[in-house]
Amino acid sequence: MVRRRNAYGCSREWCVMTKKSCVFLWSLFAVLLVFPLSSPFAAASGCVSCHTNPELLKSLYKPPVIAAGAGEG
Amino acid sequence: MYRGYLIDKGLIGTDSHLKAGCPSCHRGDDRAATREEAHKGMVKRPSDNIATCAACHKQISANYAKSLHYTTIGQRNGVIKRMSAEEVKQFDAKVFEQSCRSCHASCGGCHVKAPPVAGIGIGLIKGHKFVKRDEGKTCAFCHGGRVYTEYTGEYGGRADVHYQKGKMCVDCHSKEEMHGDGNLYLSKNDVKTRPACRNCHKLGKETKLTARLSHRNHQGKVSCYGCHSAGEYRNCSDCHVETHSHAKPGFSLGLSPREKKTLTTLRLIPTIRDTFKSAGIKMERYDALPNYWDTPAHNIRKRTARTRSCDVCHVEGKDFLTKEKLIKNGSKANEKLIVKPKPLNR
Repeated sequence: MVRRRNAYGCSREWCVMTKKSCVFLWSLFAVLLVFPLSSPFAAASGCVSCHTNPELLKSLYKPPVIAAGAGEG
Repeated sequence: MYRGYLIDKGLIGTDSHLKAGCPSCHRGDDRAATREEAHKGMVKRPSDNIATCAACHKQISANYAKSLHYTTIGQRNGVIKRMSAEEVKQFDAKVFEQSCRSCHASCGGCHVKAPPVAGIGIGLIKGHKFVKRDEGKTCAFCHGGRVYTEYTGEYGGRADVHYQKGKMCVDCHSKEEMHGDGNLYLSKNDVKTRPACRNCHKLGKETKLTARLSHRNHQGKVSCYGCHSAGEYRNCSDCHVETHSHAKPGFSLGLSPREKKTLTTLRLIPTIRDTFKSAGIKMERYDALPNYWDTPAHNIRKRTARTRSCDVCHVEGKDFLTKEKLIKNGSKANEKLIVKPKPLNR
């Protein structure tokens, strides 16, 4: 059986495989674009969700009691 | 200020320090359901333990562990000469660790969060960004009582000429000086990398003849500050461990207590006879050290009253320390700093 080859000398099966790889890589790229590597940490971290929220922090904050004369000198 | 705890969202994922997640430095539990559980076991200032930063910044951390900013040994060394051997032991146990050492600067104190002073702080610098330098928010918080405010003119005098030209602390005080060079120094005066006026202003390179002559005549006899300090700087008149302290502007010229040869600007230091009374330390050798120390006043000007006219010092003796000006009940060593200006040969 003679395998058909294109102008670059590649077989038909090779071309199909390459196309599939391309589709997979483009899909992976699109996923990474939407969900960057750091985002799982950012989304999961409870620290970040509170400490990047100014309204929440403002509501939780209690000003320190400063003794008279503190800060002088 | 709640903003002191607010993290800039934009830094997450961009600043390499934040990539490992908060618990990697602060501990605690970032998956906990409640605030209390999340903060359980949390370390507020991770860089208080140098090993935290040493994991990546090995050499700097090793040097920093020996630097005066970290050891604060300069504060101890400056006062223990007034004490007997027994009192020094008491000082180390009761005062140094609890009081002086609490002021030591951690890596984060300069690069992440401005240190709180007397309960007042501005919190995170730029939303937890790891900054290289931000002197107004870091140096100024600890050195704002005297040096920084003199430098910027906020203390009421004239601002330092270097500040007006745009220079900030780190422009003169190099990172090698801040981080330490690996040597364990007992005083800032021993630090080899500390700045000196002559590093930039070379003798003999003056453009004016009068300046060249004046520098040559006073070389080794008068410090640069002696002539170029613009005027009054902050003098702390007393300091008690737990009660109060007072400060007032002043300007004094006298002999440097370190070598008793050079005329320089003297600053009243806060230690008085009963500073450590509440800790049971009388300071048996109180008179071994004076109450005035040579000070690199940070209010330098090219032209001052003393550079304009020789008479200000040599005829009027203005601002020279005299017996009458000495603080009451001060150290007997104070009198050794008094010097009379030499009359001019006209």
